[in-house]
Amino acid sequence: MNDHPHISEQFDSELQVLQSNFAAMGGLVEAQVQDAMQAFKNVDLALAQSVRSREERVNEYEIEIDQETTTIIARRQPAASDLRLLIGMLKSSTDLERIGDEADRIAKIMTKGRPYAPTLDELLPILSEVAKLENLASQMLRESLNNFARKDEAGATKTIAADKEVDSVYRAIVESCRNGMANFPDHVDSYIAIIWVARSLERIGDHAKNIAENVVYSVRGEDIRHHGTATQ
Amino acid sequence: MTIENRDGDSMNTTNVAIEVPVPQSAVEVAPAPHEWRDEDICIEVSDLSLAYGETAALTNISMQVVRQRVTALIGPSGCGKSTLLRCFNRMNDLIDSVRISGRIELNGMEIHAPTVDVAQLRRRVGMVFQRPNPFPKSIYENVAYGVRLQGRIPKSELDDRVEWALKNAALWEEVRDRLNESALGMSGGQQQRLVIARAIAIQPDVLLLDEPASALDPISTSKIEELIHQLKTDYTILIVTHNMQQAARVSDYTGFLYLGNLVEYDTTNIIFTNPTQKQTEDYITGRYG
Amino acid sequence: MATSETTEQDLSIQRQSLRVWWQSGDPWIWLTSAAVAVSVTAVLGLVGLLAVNGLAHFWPSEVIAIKHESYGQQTTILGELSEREFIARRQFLEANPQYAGNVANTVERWLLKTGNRQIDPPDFRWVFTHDVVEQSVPTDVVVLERTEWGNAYGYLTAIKQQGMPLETSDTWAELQSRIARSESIREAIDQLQEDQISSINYEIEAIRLEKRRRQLDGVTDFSDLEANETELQAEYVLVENEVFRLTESLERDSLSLTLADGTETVIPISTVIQAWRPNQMSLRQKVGMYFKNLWNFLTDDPREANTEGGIYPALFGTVLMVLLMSLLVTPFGVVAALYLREYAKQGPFVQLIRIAVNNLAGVPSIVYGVFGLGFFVYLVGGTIDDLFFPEAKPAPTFGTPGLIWASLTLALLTVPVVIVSTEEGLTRISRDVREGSLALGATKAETIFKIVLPMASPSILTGMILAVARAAGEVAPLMLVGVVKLAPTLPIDGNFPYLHLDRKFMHLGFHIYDVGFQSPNVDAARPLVFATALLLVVIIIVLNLTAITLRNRLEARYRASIN
Repeated sequence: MNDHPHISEQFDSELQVLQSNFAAMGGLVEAQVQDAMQAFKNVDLALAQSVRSREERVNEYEIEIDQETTTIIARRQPAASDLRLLIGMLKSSTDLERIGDEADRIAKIMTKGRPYAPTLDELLPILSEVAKLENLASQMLRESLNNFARKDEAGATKTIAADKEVDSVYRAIVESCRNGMANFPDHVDSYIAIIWVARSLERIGDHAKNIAENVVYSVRGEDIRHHGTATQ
Repeated sequence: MTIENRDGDSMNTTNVAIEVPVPQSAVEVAPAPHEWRDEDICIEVSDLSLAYGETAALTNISMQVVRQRVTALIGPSGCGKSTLLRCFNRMNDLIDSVRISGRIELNGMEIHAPTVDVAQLRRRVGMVFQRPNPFPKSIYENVAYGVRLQGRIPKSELDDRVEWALKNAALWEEVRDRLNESALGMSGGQQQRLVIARAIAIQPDVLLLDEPASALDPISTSKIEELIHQLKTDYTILIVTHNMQQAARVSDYTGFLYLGNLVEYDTTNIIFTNPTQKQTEDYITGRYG
Repeated sequence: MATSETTEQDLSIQRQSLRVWWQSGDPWIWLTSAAVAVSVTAVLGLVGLLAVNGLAHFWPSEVIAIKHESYGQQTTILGELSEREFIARRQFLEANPQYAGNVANTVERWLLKTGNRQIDPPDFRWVFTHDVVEQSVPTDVVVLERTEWGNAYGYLTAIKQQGMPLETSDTWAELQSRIARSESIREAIDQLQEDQISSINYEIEAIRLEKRRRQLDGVTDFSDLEANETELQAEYVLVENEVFRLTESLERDSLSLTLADGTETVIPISTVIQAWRPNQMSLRQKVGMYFKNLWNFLTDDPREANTEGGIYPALFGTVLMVLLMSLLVTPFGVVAALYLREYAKQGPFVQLIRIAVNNLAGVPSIVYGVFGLGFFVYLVGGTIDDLFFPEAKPAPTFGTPGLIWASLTLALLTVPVVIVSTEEGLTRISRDVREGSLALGATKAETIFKIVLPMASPSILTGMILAVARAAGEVAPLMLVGVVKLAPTLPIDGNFPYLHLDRKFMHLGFHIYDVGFQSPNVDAARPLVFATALLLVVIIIVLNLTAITLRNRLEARYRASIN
């Protein structure tokens, strides 16, 4: 990637501000996911409530990044790596916002959904699976943001590969829940809640994968999306 | 491409084929260099070097220019892009101390061959300059000038040719009522289109444009760019420009020159989204390495 | 204490403000505008001086009769007051030691134009005002302008035909009608002499030369020529007889004039050009006569060793020579400039040539005259005579000063100006336009002739303007290569080839010198010198204005493309 500064220092500082906004948004979203899961695990309504209240900030970040990117494209007419970086950031900010939505959704299960009991013994194996899924998804999210910040194309490729594991853990959780619901019909609400959470974590993994793909595009100028479906 | 209606299996036995829209290409995509066929090549430059006295201006340039396409030459000031352009109609011959080696073939004819008449070559390779340079004559006389140089021609035929050239330069509607007025009274943008009309009036194969819009306002620039787009159906166009966005807008192929070297030459899409050379990247993105 | 402080402060403020004024640049504006004012005043003063001194000459001023007494002798004189002067008493007494009367501190004296040169030369006389006894403006004074002896002043007493006094009720009207008659006869004689006699002479001369040519070629058969010659000679005798007859009838009338001192003199009417009574004329009549005199000055031939009459041949010669010079110098200068600027390889050698050309403009003009005489007249002209006009020898045809040599010499004198100016014009034409033409497949020559030269035409004209201004005022070299005091014929006439490049001609500049400094009658000639000088200035202004107008038009046409 390009390390030389632009002739226009103004352009450089605009890009810098945009990148730091993006990083801040990533940090915020990461915290949201973490807090939502924390609230879920501990049935902490207050924490869930605070996650929900911060959702608004995530949206603000997205709008801000959209506007800044549009302005820079209009005023600087960026080309090549600059253009790809901006496009990558624009698209990734959408993904980050979606991740924020998923965190909100997890929080919503507690504030709006039917009561569930995460302390039941029958649920413990599944909950440990969920914790594993959470680890994997958070890892992907953190990695993809790091990749973006460091323009680390090789790391991004690894991050993309990690999505497969997320998917398989998710499928295992869904399978376990299906069995659990058959065996313990009293706890259906809890199972549903777990499925919701797992579903959100899986989506978070997908979005993190998108972000990593954008990193590859930004760095290499190569569109690696949908290769699985397009070429196979 | 069709897919089968999923409900069709259960609801009725006939397969209803529906048209699935395929995304259209919004931007015209020119064939990549590896797709060029021999008959597409209008100009072939091989190992061209040029020096003013002891100072080398161009070093070992090899490139092919595709017929009826717009090829842009970009690069920082003094990189040799104008010098290269002026090689194609041997305008550099006017400078005493120039030494040229290598070959330039126009439709297979070596233009430096001793049998080539420079005046004839320049009738086949028209040129438009940076600053509008109409002659201090009437609009009509400006366009007729080059035609008249080729010999006597009946008045009616000349009239037709002038009208044709002005129409092709998108100027006819603006000047049809004042053909006998001085060309110097026109606006800069009109003058530049007049100069283009003057160049195409002698029906060349190739048009060389040396920063044709650098002295013009944005509206006139857009008109010139639109004109270039229309003209490429009939002419092979080479354009030198300082304005990278202009090169991106009008050209199919772009060559980046730096210190007399052709650093990178590819489709404009590649050059402006994903150039391979770092020098190109730095120049395109406004960096200096 | 307090006061001195204030003054010091004031002073420093003053010094400050002076410095501010100096730094503001105002002094420069004043200085430069003063220079312009001086130049304008000088030019206007020059033209004004010429106009006042020259143009007054044509006014029919009143004639005064003065009775004056000096050294006990009383005389009456008639004349026009042409100058007043005051001289100091001492100077007067030194000049007139015998003067007995009382003398004032300053003495006024008048210069009177008294005319009647045939009786009482000179025709100008100084009169001291303290000698004047009586002064009057007699209404019936007659002034006669004559073809010889200058003006005559007196009282008309009688008109005579064949020497016999004529009984007539209105002598004045009779005089006018007889002057008109003699005028028309004179014109008829001139016509015969200028047209027929001169063309017969021209043909006879041509036959003589043809004979000589045949002799040189060894042919001895002149029969056809001789027949022609006899015919021409017979024709000549006829015309000559007619001239004699007319001259005789011209001498029929005379008039008798009573002069101021009461003596009577007889003047043949054939010598009278016009007669007027200035003291009876109204202002309108005087104005009419003024313009008639002015017109005659421009269109008449000179008389009396150039001190009277018009300057038409000089005017004609000057304009013709300048036009011919322009025709020669322009193509030559333009071609030279084209080579230097467009074709020659720029380098130290071309630079050297350029410096040499510039320096040529600084060579004194008389040197060009000597060169023109030695090279053009003797060498080129002599060679032309040897090759083409051997029959006229030993009389030279082109081997003598003449119009063409004068024009060529002046062309040579002014060619640097044209070259420099044209070169400047050529360099100002932007490379863009030249390349525009070349890029359309034009050759270099096509580009030069179709684009570059038309665009350089304003500069070429500027060069021509400067050349004309220089050439029209040049006199010294012309005296060596073609200008004469009095040319018998104009360089253009009705005889083939109409424009006679070998003829000598008259020139206003030389005319001024001749009339002003070579004339026997300085007082009479002085107004003519001024009038001629004014005319020369006016001609140069007119030629320049014409060229400048033309140049401005061309410039407006090509303005936008000269960057």
